[in-house]
Formats: sequence, C-alpha cells, structure tokens
Amino acid sequence: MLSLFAYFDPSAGSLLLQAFVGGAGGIVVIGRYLWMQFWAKQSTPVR
Amino acid sequence: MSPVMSPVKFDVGSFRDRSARVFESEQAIYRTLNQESSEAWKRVSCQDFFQRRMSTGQIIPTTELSDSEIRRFLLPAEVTGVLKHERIPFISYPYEWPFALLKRATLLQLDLLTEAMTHQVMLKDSTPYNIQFRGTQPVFIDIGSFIPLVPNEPWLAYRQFCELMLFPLLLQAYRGIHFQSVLRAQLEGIPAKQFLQWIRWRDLFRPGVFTNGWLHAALERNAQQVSTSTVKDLKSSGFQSQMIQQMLKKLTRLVERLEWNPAATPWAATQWANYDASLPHVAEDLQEKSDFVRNVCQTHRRTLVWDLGCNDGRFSRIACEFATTVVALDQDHGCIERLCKSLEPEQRVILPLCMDLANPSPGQGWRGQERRRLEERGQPDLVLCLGLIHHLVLAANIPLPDVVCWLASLGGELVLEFPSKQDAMVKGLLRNKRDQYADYSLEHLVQELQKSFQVVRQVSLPSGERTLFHAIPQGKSKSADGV
Repeated sequence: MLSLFAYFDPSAGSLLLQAFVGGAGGIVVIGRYLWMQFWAKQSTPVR
Repeated sequence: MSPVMSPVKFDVGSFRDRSARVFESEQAIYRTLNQESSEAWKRVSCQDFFQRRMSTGQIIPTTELSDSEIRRFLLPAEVTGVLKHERIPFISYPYEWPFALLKRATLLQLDLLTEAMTHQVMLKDSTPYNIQFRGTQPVFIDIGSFIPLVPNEPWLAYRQFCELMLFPLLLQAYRGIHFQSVLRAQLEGIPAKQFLQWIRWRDLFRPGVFTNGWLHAALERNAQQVSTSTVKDLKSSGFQSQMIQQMLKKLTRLVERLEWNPAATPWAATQWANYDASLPHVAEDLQEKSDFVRNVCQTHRRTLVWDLGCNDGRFSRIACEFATTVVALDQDHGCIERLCKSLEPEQRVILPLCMDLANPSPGQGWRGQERRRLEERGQPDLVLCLGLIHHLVLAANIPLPDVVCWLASLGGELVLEFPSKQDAMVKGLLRNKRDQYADYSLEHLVQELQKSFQVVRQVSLPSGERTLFHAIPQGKSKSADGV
C-alpha cells in the first residue's frame, strides 16, 4: 500500500538520502534502485 | 449549548492539509476529520504512548466530540468527526522563537516520531508550525499529523524537517546566523541549496552538514531527471522502516549537541549582554522599578502580560508570580536566549520571543492571514514598557504620539518608563544625530497618555532622569476606581 497522506512534495533526493545513510542495507537498496533506473532508461524508446 | 447554525469558518491558516482543518467557535478550538483522518485518529488515540504524552502535556489534550455535539455545527459533508483541543495561551511562530526553543521543538518532534514508529504510527509532516509553547515547554498540536505507518515507506517529511528545523539550527549554531529573519521571509523554510550558500568549506566537516546538507542537495539535483515515483521504487528496492529509525537516532544526537552561545563571537556579541554594568542608572533605579512593577502586578491576577523590551527578563519574573502567561519580547537575540536558558525547565508561564517592536511580526502567508500579526494573538491585560520608549522614538524614529497610540490599541493597563533627554542612555542615542525630536518630553508624553489612559500613578526614579507611569485605559478606569 502506498501512503496517500503526504500533502507536500517530499523530493526524490531526500528520499534517496535516507537509503544512503541506512548503513549496509541502504547501500543494497541504492544499488537495486539504480539498477531499476538503468533498465527503465534502456527500455524507454528514443525518438 | 445552542446549535451554531451558520457554516463553520475554518482558520485561514488551516488549509494545507485538507484532511484535518481547524476552526474556532465560542472561544474553543476544534479540528474536523474526514474519513481517512478519522480512521487514523481511532487507531492512534487508543495507543498507550499517545495517552501518556497527552497526560504529560507534550501532545495537546484533545477530546472527541459525540455525534450530538457535532450536530451543533454546520459542517461540510466530508466531515466525519470533530476533535476539541485545549487552548494554547499565546500563539507564537518559529520565526519568533530563540534558538533554544526551536531546538526544544525539534527534539520533541524527533522524540515523538521515534516513539510513534515503534507503535506503527507515523507523523505525516515535520514542521515547527505543528508545535506551540506553554512557557518554554513545547506542545505538539497537530493531531491530524498522526497516521498509520506504511511499512517500508521512506520518511516523506525528511526534507520538510531539514528545511524548517535542522538547517535553521545548524546555521545559527555553526555560523551565528539568526534564522528568525530568514524563516519570517520564507515560510516554507531554507532549501538545501540555499543552506549550502551560507556554509563555509570548513563547516562541511561539522556534524550534520555533509550528509543532511551537501549530499541532500546533490541527490536532489540528480534526482530531478527521474520520471518514476521514487517512493514506489525505493519500496520495491527493499527500503525498510529501520533505516528511518537509524536516521532519527543520528538526528536526535546531532540536535542535542547543537548549541548557540551569544558571547562566543566577540564582534557578534549583542549590545545588551551586560546591561547591568553598562549604565549608571540601572543599579540605582532597579529596586524602585521592581517595587513599582510588583505593586501593579499584585493588585489582581492577570491572564496575559506582555513585557516589551524585556532584556534579561527580571520584570517578567516579577509579573509571572501574578499572571497565567507572560510573553517576554526583545529584539536582542542574546538576551532572549539567555532568558530562555535561565528559566526553570518545567516553567509554563514565561514565553521569551525575539521581536523587533519597531517591526513586529506582521500577518503572513496566504492573504496575509495564515500566520497572524502580533496584535491579533490576544489582548494583554497588562503591558510592561520599561526602558523601551526612547529606543522606539529616538532610534527607530517613530513619533511619540504614534507609540502611545499603539500602546493604547493593545487595550491593557500600562507600566511605562520614560527617560528624559538628560538621561545617559538618551544622550548616547542622540550623540551623533540631529535632535529632531521636539515631541520627546515628559510633558508631551503625559499629554498623549491622557488621551487614551488615566494615569493612576507617576513616580520619579532615584537617578533623577527617569519617570515611571502606571496607566489604565479609559473606560476601564471607572471600574478600577471602584476597586
């Protein structure tokens, strides 16, 4: 379930930072996140 | 109670979060709930930690209205519940708080969030506008902020926390920059990019700056190109709530260690730090002034006292023995900070605030009504105006009649100290200026006072150049005569 409670923009950078400072587990999360972004870019058609 | 038949008028400043809006009716404060916020309230309000925090006063005491009580009000259709809050004696804003009060508010926010998360509850926002003060005790007032924790979702309010709470504290602790004027101009806070512009290279290595400041700004810049939902992506990548708790621990340690020492930087030392030693009249007149103020205060108990130009707060301390709330205002941040720290930790009467009375807090935000101007936040029963009027007239160049008119508009009794032009401080103010202040005299002052007040008592102080007045607003003076 995704929270529907935020009434302001939390900013992507501040969300990523929390994973960065999350220790070893956070590094794994960042790694997976970057991998997802890479594949999302690869599968986006270029006009 | 009779039903209120016209539609409730929501507080102009209560619109950002539509799920829980505040209105006032018959001197009481209410908050409406919609379907989601009602469910959140039911889940949160029965928790032990919530009830405990309410009983200690850290969360505003709140009760839920019954259906029959709700029917008294004409409410929008989406409202499914109404809460009633205890009233805060005097509303203040983060851009008026000294460093010490913003730090206490921040620590309360972190403490509440840390405990809430252990009970599967989250705070949806992290703004100091969710916190008020009773004396110097912070009270969390935004009940609508408590929501069920969504597992493994990042802390959505971290950016807001940094911009409105952490960066202002870091700027004042590390750079001595008074955050109050910045927050008054920027109600949404200080963005990371702007924070970094005030930071020197060597400050990057100080606790909290690199991670929360530099790295934050760098990630914000790079993440602007991302088109997908970062919240969803992080959850899919395995983000865990424990990461937030780790972060909260670090932030709490960081904030606990932050201090601002007004005397630390010689060129930044404030003018009134050593008021007692600075001028000869102070020691000579002190006892007489104290006795005068005490005699006025002890005639009867006051609900709200304003001490304008409070300096070290000695007269606020006298007033607080006979008042429910004393708001101590001064433009000198060092004095207010020292006053704050010198007060007993549990006291709930004196609220020290930083304010330039020649430029008091105006109406701010949307339509100039979201955050109220000073004069709209409560009528004082008694105003102490000691050692101030010459600064307003001779330094700020406000005409004497205008100052008296403003004091009269506050509506309360007045204790006023008037130094003549022979006074040492006044001579200092005029030393390098042309004396254009023909209206600054005892005779003119008495004339102006008598337009709006009845002067009950007038006393010359031992130093010879200062006069104290006790004046009662006309209209109230008849009832005073009968006492």
